[in-house]
Amino acid sequence: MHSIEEIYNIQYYDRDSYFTSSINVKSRAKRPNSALLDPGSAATNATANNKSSTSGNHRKRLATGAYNLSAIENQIHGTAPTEETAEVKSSMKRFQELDRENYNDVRFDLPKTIHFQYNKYPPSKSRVKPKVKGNAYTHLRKVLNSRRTLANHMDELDDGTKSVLLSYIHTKPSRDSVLVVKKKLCSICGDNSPSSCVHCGLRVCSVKCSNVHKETRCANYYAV
Amino acid sequence: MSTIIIDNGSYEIKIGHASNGVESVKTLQNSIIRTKDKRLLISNQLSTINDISGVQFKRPIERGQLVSWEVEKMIWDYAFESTDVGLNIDTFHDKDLILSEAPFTIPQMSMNSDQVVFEEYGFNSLYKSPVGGFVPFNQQNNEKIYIPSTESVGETAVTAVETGSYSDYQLVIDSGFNATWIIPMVKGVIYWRGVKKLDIGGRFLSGVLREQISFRHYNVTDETVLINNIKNESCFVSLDYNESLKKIKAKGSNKQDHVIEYVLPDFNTTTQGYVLTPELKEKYKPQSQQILKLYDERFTAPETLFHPEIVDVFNKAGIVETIIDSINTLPEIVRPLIVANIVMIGGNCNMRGFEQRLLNELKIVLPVEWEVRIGKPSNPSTYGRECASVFSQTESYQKVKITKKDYEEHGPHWVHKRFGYSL
Ligand SMILES: [Zn+2]
Ligand SMILES: [Zn+2]
Repeated sequence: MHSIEEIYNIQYYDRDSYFTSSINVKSRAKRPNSALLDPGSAATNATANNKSSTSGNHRKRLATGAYNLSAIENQIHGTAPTEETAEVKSSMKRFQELDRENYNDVRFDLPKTIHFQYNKYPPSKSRVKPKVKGNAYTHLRKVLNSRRTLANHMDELDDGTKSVLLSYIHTKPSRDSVLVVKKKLCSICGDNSPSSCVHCGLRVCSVKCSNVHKETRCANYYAV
Repeated sequence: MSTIIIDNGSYEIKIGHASNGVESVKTLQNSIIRTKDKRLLISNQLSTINDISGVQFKRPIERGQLVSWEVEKMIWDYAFESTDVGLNIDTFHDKDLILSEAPFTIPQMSMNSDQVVFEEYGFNSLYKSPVGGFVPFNQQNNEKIYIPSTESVGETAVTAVETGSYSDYQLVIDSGFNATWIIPMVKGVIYWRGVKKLDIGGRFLSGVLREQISFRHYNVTDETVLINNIKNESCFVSLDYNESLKKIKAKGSNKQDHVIEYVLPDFNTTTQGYVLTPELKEKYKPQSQQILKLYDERFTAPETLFHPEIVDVFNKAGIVETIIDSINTLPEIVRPLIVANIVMIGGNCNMRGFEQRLLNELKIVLPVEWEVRIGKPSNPSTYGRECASVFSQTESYQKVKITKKDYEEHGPHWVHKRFGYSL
């Protein structure tokens, strides 16, 4: 949802890149190629690299009639779903891995009834618990006994609410932001790192870190 | 008649009588806990166990949504009735409730809460809002915490503050356990179109720290409580990430302020672990305990708030981009006014350096002629509740609260229209 209005500060606005959608997506289209040629140029990762090799360099002659127009268009305009979703997918996986309170994510189930032992104040004598009747009562019991998960609830949402919760309220990262420069750090030692592992795309800064990486984290090293 | 305020955070509940001071606010774990030997504990009973290893949490609020009233009710009952907490609140006896609820709560869940509040607990009236929504009403205190302070900014920003008034333009940054919310407010009302969510909260930062420590030092994958303690004691936001990195890599330089030694629990002399300060070090040497030396881990995890891409999460914008996105939804004329009134609340804001770093970064990306001011209260975790307490004294509150009679007369959908988001 970029608009002209957003370039309110000419000082930080890169004059060389004109804000038209075509130029922005073109620079994206180059990414799979350049990532293969120069491992340091693009932030990639295991799956992105694997998949992008199919959409990148290798141009095959296709038999007449076998052209997939939308695929070609995607390639030209950089909306190739393989590249985009691969990065999003692996980012989502990575996020879920880190955004867990219990690492092993074993959700323990509660027994049917539990009573916690603790000392209580005696209930006041004037206490009158209101009586709820009819449908409201049934609903209230349902609410208080429900063991439905968040996923259950999300499934039931109408499309409008869903798109608000899952999309509208989040800010998409700008790819080539003129505002915030993206950081590129070594996945082993955390130092700034211009280069990435040729096997999997994770960033490594030095021979030393690269060796540690190969022995521990590299998803593709032994596979190669 | 008395008013109860519950800031129902997904990590902790902050609860107390509106009329009582800040010091009487009680903080409770909003969870059920299972110990390694499979005992179930409720809320603050967590503090009674010696072995924090392998403890697991079950929370009624998942990803900011109050999913389980089954669990939440057990915790609220504990909050109201237990002598551990010490509040002794009879919800059925003439009580008004001010309750916080995450922005963009799923409508059905929001209505479920209303029903429980009125029909299960019998509260007399309810007012519900994201906790950030109370901040403008604490204008008097907000003015005291802004950096740069009003005096140093000069005349333009100086405004006479009267009791009971609110700031017309306010940007609240609520960085909690589940997420970081950017909430613009105009004339005391949330500007919903501009409310933005950054999925990075305390839980994520702990996850990053857990991974780093496990990869480099000891396996702490099963040590949720310990990781949380280490994070609280040692993490800070670096004012210049590259400089901090250099400082750590440099040999023999003065990196005292960047390196920390954390004594791990041995379940004998310490159950939670602690930071080995130079003073402590002089007094005695820990003998059998293991010591964890932390370097860049201390500021790498917090850095993900600004740069999620450093942990290979490329599909999320950092906090600065998210704030800019939020500001850009506002009419142009309002933008400079709102960035002059930023207040940071929520547990993550306890991290040293957060406000200064954010101020620096915003000054870089915003026009130079805009005056950016950020206020960070001395206790960002309870400040929202404190603001709600100020709000409870206003006439506005009397106008917007919904009584049980209203609820019965107009029904849950009508109530939800009053409290829910609207785009
Ligand atoms: Zn390295
Ligand atoms: Zn690799």
